[in-house]
Amino acid sequence: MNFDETLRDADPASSLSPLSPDRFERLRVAAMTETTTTPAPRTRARLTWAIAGGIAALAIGAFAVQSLTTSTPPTEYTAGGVEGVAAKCREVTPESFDLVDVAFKATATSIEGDTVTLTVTDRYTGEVTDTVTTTQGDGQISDGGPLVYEEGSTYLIAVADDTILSCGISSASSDYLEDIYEQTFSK
Amino acid sequence: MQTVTNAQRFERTMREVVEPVRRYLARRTDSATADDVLSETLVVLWRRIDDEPDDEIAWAIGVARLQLANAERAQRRQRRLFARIATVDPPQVVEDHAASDTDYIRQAIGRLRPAEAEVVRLSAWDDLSLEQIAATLGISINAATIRLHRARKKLKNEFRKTQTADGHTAVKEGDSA
Repeated sequence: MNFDETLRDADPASSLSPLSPDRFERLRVAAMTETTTTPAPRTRARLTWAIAGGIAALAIGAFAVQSLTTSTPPTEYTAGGVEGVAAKCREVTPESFDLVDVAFKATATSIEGDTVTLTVTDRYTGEVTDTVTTTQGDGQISDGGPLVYEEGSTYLIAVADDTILSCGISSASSDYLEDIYEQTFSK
Repeated sequence: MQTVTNAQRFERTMREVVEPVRRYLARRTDSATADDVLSETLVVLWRRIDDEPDDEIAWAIGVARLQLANAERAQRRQRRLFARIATVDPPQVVEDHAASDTDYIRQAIGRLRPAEAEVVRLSAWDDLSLEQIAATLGISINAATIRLHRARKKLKNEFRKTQTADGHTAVKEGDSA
């Protein structure tokens, strides 16, 4: 086989099967719907913070912030998780929260498909909307994989760079983790 | 009915570009990232359907390229973040014994400078012309031509070595570069 034939045969996509008509249609509709109805999540988060910041500057007060955020669309956070089964989580300590910019307590109020909606009940640090959405974990990585939520359960959630941290830093609420959150964010 | 026209136009464009874009992504990333980036690319194409140029495949691949770069940046950020809270055993180093010529070529492409590897992929696998490669990468046709020539020459030398080492026929002099 000559060089050009070998080069062409090395194409990793040569065995890729074509998109099914059904998937094509779903992608087409999703692309057209995304831009017409839903702004990007990060923009929403920034907008919320900008609005909240502006109000603080005007010293209107916490009540006004509360009434405004009630009508704000939920912030979407990435469900973070370590990659690969070789990962081993470090012990959770107050130092684990060094990079955290948002931390809150929330209840999983609905799980539809792989979208989890959390209703925030308590805020430790950072600005967060009253509801938050994220992606349901699949439980495939036991140590450090993205969180698997159960409807009705309460969670302590720590976010860095719009990503929910796993490895026990975010987890189902427990006295132990709540103590760590209190200890870390009361400073 | 401008909206209907745009919707029809988008569907037509999507039929033209979706497979080239899927293959482009499959050649460069894992399947989960490829799926995400394909969706994001289509969103951008729909949003910019009014600006669609005549060469829609090169346009769509150019958009996919930027979306993939964004996704990879976010993944790198996440990896840095999670390195703080978890330890991950380093991946095993695989000895460089290629199972076949195609594996060897893939590895050899991986050893090229990223910019050279990309022109080889765009030319040999994505089947783009030099004009399309130049448009996709935002470089002159002359620069694309030189870069591709150099990259192919390096690859050919590597290929020749393995052919000679394995007792195969070496690449003939005068094969097009």
